[in-house]
Amino acid sequence: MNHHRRHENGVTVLELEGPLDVSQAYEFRDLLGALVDGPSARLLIDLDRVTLIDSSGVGVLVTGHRRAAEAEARMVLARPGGSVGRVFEMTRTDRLLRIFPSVEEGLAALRDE
Amino acid sequence: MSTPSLHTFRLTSRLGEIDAARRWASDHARHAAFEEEAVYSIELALTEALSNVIRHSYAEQPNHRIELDLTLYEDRLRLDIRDLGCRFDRGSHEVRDLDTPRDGGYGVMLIEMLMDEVVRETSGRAGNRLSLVKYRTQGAAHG
Repeated sequence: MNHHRRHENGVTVLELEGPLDVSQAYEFRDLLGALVDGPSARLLIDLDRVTLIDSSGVGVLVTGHRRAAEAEARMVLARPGGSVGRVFEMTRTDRLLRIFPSVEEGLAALRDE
Repeated sequence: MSTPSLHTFRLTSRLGEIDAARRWASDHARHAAFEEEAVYSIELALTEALSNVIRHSYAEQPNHRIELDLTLYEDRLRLDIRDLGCRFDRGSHEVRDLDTPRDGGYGVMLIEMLMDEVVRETSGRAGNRLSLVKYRTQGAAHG
């Protein structure tokens, strides 16, 4: 998995590319932890180019969501493809994670908080 | 009725080798004209199965052998995953309460949701064999 980070109006936009699976889970967990480490942190994870997500990848996102809540930071997900979105539905984590169909909608949600 | 074709792949117990195994399986499934949704299910189920073998059966110790057999039948694809690690206790890896999102433990559940048949066998003093079957969608072209 590759990732690219940019900043947009106070929000860190993390673009992921490739499979998000167990082989990168530890590295990704550490990266997420560093990006939601304080109450001013705003993170949007763009999943548009994620080709596959497994249970470890889902687990890391759930952990990131919890860490963000504990730190009073904000974390949202945007643009999961059909197959990736289906995994969130099967694990019912779509009820916990904040998922938006577009980057613009995710940014707007973060801006309005 | 055509003769089933058998393909084999060997890997060692390193998480970094899962990607190559996944691409091997998906290449065969696509070549056999399985639909993309089925290919994704096969890729994800294999990822979860190998993750379990490496992390649980082999406790993340590298250089243990894992054998994959992929058999293509006219109406289905079958993946057999064999290891010589600790016996896998399905019950201890089961998510019982999906209404409480967790950090992990979805792997076994996903495999069973994604594949049409899942058979787990243990043999001898150690080792596991997991057979995963995915049927073609009715009306899909045959390879």
